[in-house]
Amino acid sequence: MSAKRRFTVSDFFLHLVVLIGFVVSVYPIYWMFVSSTQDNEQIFGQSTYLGFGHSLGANFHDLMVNSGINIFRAVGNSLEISIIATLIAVLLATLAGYAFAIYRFRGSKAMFNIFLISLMIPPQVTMIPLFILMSKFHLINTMWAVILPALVTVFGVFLMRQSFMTFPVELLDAARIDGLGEGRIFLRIVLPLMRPILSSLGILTFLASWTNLLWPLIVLDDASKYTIPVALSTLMSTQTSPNYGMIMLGASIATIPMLVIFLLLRKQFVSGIMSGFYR
Amino acid sequence: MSSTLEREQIPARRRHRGNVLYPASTPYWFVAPFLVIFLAFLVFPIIYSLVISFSQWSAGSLHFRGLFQYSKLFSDGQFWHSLANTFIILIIQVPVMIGLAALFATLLNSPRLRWKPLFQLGFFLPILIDSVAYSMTWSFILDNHGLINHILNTFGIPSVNWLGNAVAAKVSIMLAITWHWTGYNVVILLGGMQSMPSEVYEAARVDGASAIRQWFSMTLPLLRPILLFEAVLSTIGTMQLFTEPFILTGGGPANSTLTPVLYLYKMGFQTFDFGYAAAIAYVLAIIIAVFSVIQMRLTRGGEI
Repeated sequence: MSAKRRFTVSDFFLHLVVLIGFVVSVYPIYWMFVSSTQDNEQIFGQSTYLGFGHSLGANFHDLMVNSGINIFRAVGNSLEISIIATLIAVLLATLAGYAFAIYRFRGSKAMFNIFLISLMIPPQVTMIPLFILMSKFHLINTMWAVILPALVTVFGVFLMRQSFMTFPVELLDAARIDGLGEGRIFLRIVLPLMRPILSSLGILTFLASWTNLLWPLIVLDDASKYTIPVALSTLMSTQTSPNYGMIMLGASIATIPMLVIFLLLRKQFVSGIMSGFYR
Repeated sequence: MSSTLEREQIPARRRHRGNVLYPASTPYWFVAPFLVIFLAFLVFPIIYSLVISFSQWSAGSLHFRGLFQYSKLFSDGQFWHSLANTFIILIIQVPVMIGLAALFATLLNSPRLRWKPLFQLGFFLPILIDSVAYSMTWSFILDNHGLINHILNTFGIPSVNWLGNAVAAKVSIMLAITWHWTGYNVVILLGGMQSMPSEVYEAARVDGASAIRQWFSMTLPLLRPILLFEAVLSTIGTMQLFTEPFILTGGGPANSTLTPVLYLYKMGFQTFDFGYAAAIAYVLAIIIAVFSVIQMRLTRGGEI
């Protein structure tokens, strides 16, 4: 292939079709940010749908004072819940996956088969009993009602077990000869070596927790405890004559943390999504 | 990435993991924390849910009613309606989305495409937008005075009541889900394509095979397992559809976008009929399990 090719007709159509797909993918996101600076008249008027408006300040004031929610509080709650859930879930899944891959022990096969079966059951089945359980333990309206069920990532155990299958056991033996305990080996040697796959699993768990609407909607009904999806959904439903720019401003603010995380961890993000698919 | 390479260079060894002894209780300590959480927040609820589905929940206690909830469910028109809605949505939306994903993954993988990283980033972005945030955005874009009707009007086509008409509301839900998930499927397909041997394509090109011919006789068979798996995952995801109809239409108009999970939510947490909601959940689980079995069959067939 020569380095310089002429731009042919088929090249033109290739770029045209990709460009259409690109615009359709990106434009709604762009519009979400743009309309957060506009008032209702602009949003639904015959405007160009491209330029920024002048109502950002008014929308922000409306969001902070009249919306019935505190969007920054919701961002904070979501971050807190997702980070705690992710850290604990990844740790538990890694410990269990490690044991299944590295050790041989009684009952491991049976446990493993039960895990496999549980993967086939959709999470909605557990909602009613979990709600009763959370009420019994007075956890409704606390972040633990959201976190505790999110800690069970059976998929994570499988993912970690798979990755530990190729772990160099000689390294563990050497450490044992040096007199390190099993727990210390895990913390000092195993965890640092597994960082790529840990970040993949972490991002998957974080995304699942961050975007979950249904379960937090069920167990949180105090506005100060709302996560982002719950806060946004009430923003939509409680307004009688909604200020759409304000709603889009809320959506934009809620989107920014995820965009920042993506920009910081782009590679891990893509490999996380990949490993989530190939379970 | 270098650590994976090093790991693979180590010769095959016994799965029995090392020669030096460790305490026999060690593995149990490693499994125990997960196992406790697993039993408490997954196994127990699954079993308890079955018990609840055979009961009537009133005043904080269960009363055994046998198959009462299930027989009520099978004669409940709204539940059947919600299942029918879901099937209509998935039968149309899943093939369209997978087809679009295959098309765009192929184009994005083309060596003749310029500004590739920028385009790929654009297709990835919708994945990062929260379901509620994007559903709200689409509800405004689809509004009577929103962008889509504005575009239609400029071409002389009258406005469509996207969220207020039974057929158009289903189309709206499909549009929104397709927008959100096509990029995800493109990313997965691109990953699969990048692992394909380029020599084969080179050889085909030398032999004079056209691009379309190459795609159908080489790319498609290689992508087949991924495409099948994507289709089944999307199907299972669509069976659990909740956020999009909840935000866009609330299940309306006239239940035309009601989904089983939305119905479960209404019965369980607005009417607080726990027994009935548990029965809905179990019927849904059985339907999804059937799809999972089909998934295993198909993916096994795809890999040969």
